[in-house]
Order: sequence, then structure tokens, then C-alpha cells
Amino acid sequence: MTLTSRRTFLGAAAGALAAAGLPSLTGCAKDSGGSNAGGSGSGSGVINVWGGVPAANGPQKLIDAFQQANPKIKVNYTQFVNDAGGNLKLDTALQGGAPIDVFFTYAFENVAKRSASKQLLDLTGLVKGDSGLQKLASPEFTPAVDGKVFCLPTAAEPGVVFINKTMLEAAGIEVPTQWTVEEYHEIARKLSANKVRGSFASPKVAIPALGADAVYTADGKANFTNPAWLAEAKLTEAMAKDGSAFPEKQVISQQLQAYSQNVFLGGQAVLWTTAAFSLRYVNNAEQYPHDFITTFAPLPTPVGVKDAWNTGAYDNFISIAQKSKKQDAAWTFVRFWLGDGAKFLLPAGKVSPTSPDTTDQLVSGLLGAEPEKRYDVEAFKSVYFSPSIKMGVPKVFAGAAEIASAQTKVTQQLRLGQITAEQWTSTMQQQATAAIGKSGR
Amino acid sequence: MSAPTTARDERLVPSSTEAAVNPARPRRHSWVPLLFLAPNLLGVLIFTLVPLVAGVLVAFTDWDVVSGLPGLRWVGLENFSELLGDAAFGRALGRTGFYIAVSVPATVLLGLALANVLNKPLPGRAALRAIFFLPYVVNPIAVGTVWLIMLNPDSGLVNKVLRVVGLENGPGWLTSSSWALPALMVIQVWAGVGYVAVIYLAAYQDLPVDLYDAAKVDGAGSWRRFQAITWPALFPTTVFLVITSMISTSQGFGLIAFLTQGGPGEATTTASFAMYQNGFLYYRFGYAAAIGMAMFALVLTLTAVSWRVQRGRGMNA
Repeated sequence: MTLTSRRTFLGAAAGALAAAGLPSLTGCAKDSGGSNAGGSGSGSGVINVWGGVPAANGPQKLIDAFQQANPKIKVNYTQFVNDAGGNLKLDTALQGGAPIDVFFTYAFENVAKRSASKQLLDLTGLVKGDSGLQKLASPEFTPAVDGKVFCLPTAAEPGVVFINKTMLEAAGIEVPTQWTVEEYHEIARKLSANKVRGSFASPKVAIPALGADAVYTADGKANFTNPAWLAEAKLTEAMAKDGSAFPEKQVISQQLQAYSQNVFLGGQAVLWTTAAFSLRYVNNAEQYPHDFITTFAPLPTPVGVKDAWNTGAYDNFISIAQKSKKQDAAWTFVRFWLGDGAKFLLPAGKVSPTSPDTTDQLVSGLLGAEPEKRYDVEAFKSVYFSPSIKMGVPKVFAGAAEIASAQTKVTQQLRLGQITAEQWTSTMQQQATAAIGKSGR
Repeated sequence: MSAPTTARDERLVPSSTEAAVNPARPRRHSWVPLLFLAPNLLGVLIFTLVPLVAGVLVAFTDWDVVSGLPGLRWVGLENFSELLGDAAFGRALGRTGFYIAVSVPATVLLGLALANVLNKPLPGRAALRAIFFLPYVVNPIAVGTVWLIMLNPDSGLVNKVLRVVGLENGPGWLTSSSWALPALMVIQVWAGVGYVAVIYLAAYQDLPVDLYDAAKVDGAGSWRRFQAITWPALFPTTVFLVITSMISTSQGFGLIAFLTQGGPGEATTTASFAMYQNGFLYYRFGYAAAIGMAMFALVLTLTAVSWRVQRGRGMNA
């Protein structure tokens, strides 16, 4: 990811942004240049938007600003929970012809399914004709189906390591600016004492080494026999055994799978790999009172791997429904969300890959008021906006949901000490092969 | 010439026969009962029969919901043949069988024992009955939350009690592949015993008191009275409870989804959870519907066997 160069890119496109007009969706070749990124765009009437972020966490302010800039368009926002039930609700609503014009997809495999189901409007012409969005048409940013773009990422979410700086300094360890997974393990081990664990979880090895499609071989078969997966399993096993990672027993019995922030902000783990969306917990001193400074480090890289992939992604994909009767207005709204409206999502930790804001504006929006009280701001800037971050977009989705589910469960067993790293790889190879086989029926 | 009928005879003649006897008489009221039944029949048709038939049909497709109706592709018996060779489903079925085989008898027997106690003239009996029935009406999430705290391997009440009695390293319960399913069974039994006891208590009220008196006069002890009078009289109730418990246990999903999500590993992935996984997580609704049908067939068979046992017993009793 190269956010700095992105701004340079956007700066060069500024003239086009100001000058071009919004194309009708029936004629997409003309460069819209993001003309409707801020001001009034084409289309009118009421559009219905379905998203997973609660309205109060940013979307409502974005909608208010959009309606002020585009008084002919009224927006109704519906929040759905981004889980199995919530996504099914969205899918059945789309199938049943519910009036949905714009909606969000959060999981890559759902992007593939919804794109293939012909429920989504083909945005290829619009994106390629918009100098502010052209780069999103690249496979580096957006999963394409048959070369067509059906959705656009509204958030760049690279993985970074959040660190309890107070505890790190107390142990006499400097904040790493570059480290391997072995060095990470060693530091986590040193930091583990009494009831404090060095790390919440063990770092990834396979995706940083192999990329976003790490679970598949080049010919689409299961890839868990790759040594990178065994290395990851061995590291997970070792960190569970020596107690440098937070015990799985406690994760299960306290149902912490979705509440890892409680462990980090409660001072029970020093290192926490997450993304910018977790900043909102650190910012929320009322619900998560804590007295330490959070600093940041890049993800540790596998030993011997240069130019490793980041485990994060460009995600939170926005789409227009094929059946929408207000496609012009919907596109005006999508363009605003990706452009001038993006700043309203910063408190939720969402940074648009096409945001026109400067780094300082983004940092200020992400870290809230008086950031020095809670953060090592310079470390955040250099880690989160590092030009060396490289994120990938998966291109293969055969049995993806089943493989992800199996990975969660089998890794749980590994962390509980019920299976070995070798058993982990063989079980995963077996289950992934079965899942891929089923998907190909 | 036909013989005249009495007023009583007329009432007994079915309307169709009546119309046949007297074709001149208009059948103007024949639709009225249907009109009264229509709202209910429509409800059953729309909310039960249509989804049921749709579910059966979906089992023969590879539908993923996302593709909508155009994505419905008929695959014949493919889902069922895959089911037969699916080792993961086989294991889930085995777990479901074990879950039913332990939970149902335990719930029914403990419920019977509880009913026996609560049928005696105890102080505060009404309050005790209400207390034991309470778990059955409490929301499964609330039940799950309480048990989650109690079964915490380190700080939970259950392991603390075990430590007091000398068992230092208590089970990991929901965090252990070996103990997670037994832990769920304990919760299932705990939640169901009150209901079983209440049904048995109702059955107890119909027991023939004079037979007990006669048996006492004949010198029969309490076990003999239970064996000869109580149990045969309660047998139909027991069959009813076994069948309904079997159905509800085989469909048990809420506690598993909330407490373990089918884990650790796949330790608590029962057939109903596998059905949820395939449908709602993997979007394989055709396969999930096939699992549903297989489970329906299994429960139907078990129910038929139970009825058969009761009928046989009824004839012998």
C-alpha cells in the first residue's frame, strides 16, 4: 500500500476532479474525475444504503454532509450485522427485490459470490473513466470477476502491531521498527510474566510469505503441505506451550474471540496484531479506561522472506445493486463515500484508499482529540502509512468459507495442545481438499 | 317407497347422503365451515406446508441463496449421496446420537425422580415446583451465560467445588474436546428436568388412589407399588416425553451456537449445527436441506419405534 504516493497521484488528478461532470451510468467512458466527490452529482430521489457500520459511528454524519451537498437525493441507511445471519438477510433482501441501491460486503468470499450472482452493477466503465478512482480497478485493490469491477474498497486496513509502550519499556525493550517472527516470539516470551502474556496471538507466517491466496497452490489445490504453513503451526504451538501467547482456554471460556481489545487494553497482553478499526477502542477511554501509551510496530516478517505481504487488506467493499432504479443517485453517493465523505468514517478507523485528505488530517481523524495522551503518534504515522506495506487481494475462493471455518477450529485444537503442528497441517490439507472438492461439484 | 325416518335418524345422516336422498335440497351451507377454517388453513398452508415442500425441493438442488431463483439447479440425489460419504457429517451424526442417547434418558429419569419428590407433601412445594420449572422457560442465552461462568476451568464454581472435594485439576469443560459435549449434556438435562417433572406431576394426579390403597392392604412395598401401578400408568406419559425430548434434543442448536460454536475443534458439532454451518456459513443450502431431511427421517423412525413400543406395552398391560 502506498498512501503517500496516492496523495501525489490524487494531487495530479485535482484538475480533473474539479472540472469533469458526472457521466450518466449509460455512458461511462467520460472521465468523471470524481467531480461528485464533494459537490452535487447527478441523480435524485430516495436511495437505500445497507452497511455494517452503525450509523452513529460515522455513516450518519457522512449522509448528512452528502444530503447537504446533494439536496435532491435523500439517503436511508440500514445497518446489518456483518455475521452469517446479517449477510443472509442482505442476500435474501437483494433476491427478494427489496429496495436496496447501495450496499457493503466485508468478506472476500461474499464479494465473489455476490459478483457472480449478477446482483451487482458493473462499475468497470465508471471506475476507469474516473481519474480519482482508476487505480481501484487494479487487481491490487479490487477482486474482479471476468475482468469486471463490481465493487470498490472503501477502507485500507493494513495489519499493524499495537504495543503497550509502558510495559515494553519496563522490560527494557525498544519498539521494533523491523523484526522477524522469531524475534517477535523472543520478545513476547520476555514480556510474559505473572498474569501478563507477551502477545495476544501468534504472528502469521504463511500469508506474509505466500500472499493472500496462501491456502491454494498455483493450480487451485489445497496448499497446507507448504512449509510456510508448518512453520506457522509450529510457531503457534510453541507460543501456546511456553505461554507467550494468551491462553486459548481463556479465550474460549471468556468468549474473547471478538473482544481481544479487552485483553490488550486491560493490560493482560503487551502485543496485539490488529488494524486501524481497533483504534476506536483505544480512543474510548470511558469504556476502556487505561493509563498506558499505545505505540506501533510493523508486522513481523517470516525468516528469510523479503518484501513480505501484509495480512491486512483493502476491504469494506461498496456496490450498487443491479436492480437499483436510482443508479445515478447511487453512484453519486458511492463517489462521495470514497471521496470527500471518507473523513466521516475515520473515527470508526476506516481510511478510504482514495481519500483526498492529507496524512495529518487522516491521523487526526483516526486518533481523536489529544492523541499524545494515548498514542505514540510518530510511530503510528510511520508504521500505518509506510510505503513498504504490500497488501494482496485473494483471487481464488473455492471452498473459502469452509476452509476459513476449519482453520479456526483446527487452530483452536492446536492452541489447546490437543494436536501437534504436523497434525494441524495434515488435518487442514485433508479438510481443505474436501472443501475445494465440494465447491467444484 | 322408503320408510319414514325419525328426527334422530335425520341428525345422523351425513349431509352428502342427505343431498343424495333429497337432491332438490340446496347445499348452501357446505362452504360455511371452510370459511371459518380458512384463516387457520391459510396460515398452515403459507407458513408450514409451502416452506416444508420448498425445503424438500431445495434438498435436491445446489442452491446458494445468493444467486436467487435463477441459481436453483436440480442435482437429483447428489446431496444425499454426498451425505453418505461425508465423514464430517457421519461424525456429527454420531455425536447427535450420543447426545440424544445420554441426555434424553437422563432428563426423563431425573424428571421422574423429581416429580416423585415434588408429589409428596413438602413444605413450600408450589415454590419448589416453580423453581425447578424455571430453567425451562429462561432464555437459552441467559442459561448459557450462567453456565459459561460456572464452567470456567479456573474461576468457575463447578471446578471450585471439585477442588474442595479434592479434585485439584478439574476438567476444562467447554474448552476441552473431551468434556465440551458432556458439559452441554449436563446443561441440557438441567434445563429440561423441570419440564419433565411438571408433565409427570400432571400424570400423577390421574393415578388410581384406590389401587394404591388395595396394594398397601395386600402388603406391597413402595417399590412394588411403583413397579405394578405407577410405572404402567405413567408409561404413555414417558413415551410422550421421550419422543418430544428426542425431537427437541436432536434440534438443539441455541446452546451450542452460543457456548461452543461447534468446537473446540468439532467436538460439539452436532447434525443440527452442521446443517447451520452448511447453510448459513458456507451457503450450501441444498446440502443443508438434505441434512435436514436426513435428520427428519431419523427422528421419524425413532418416533415410530417409540410408538410401536408403547402400543405393544399397552396391549400387554
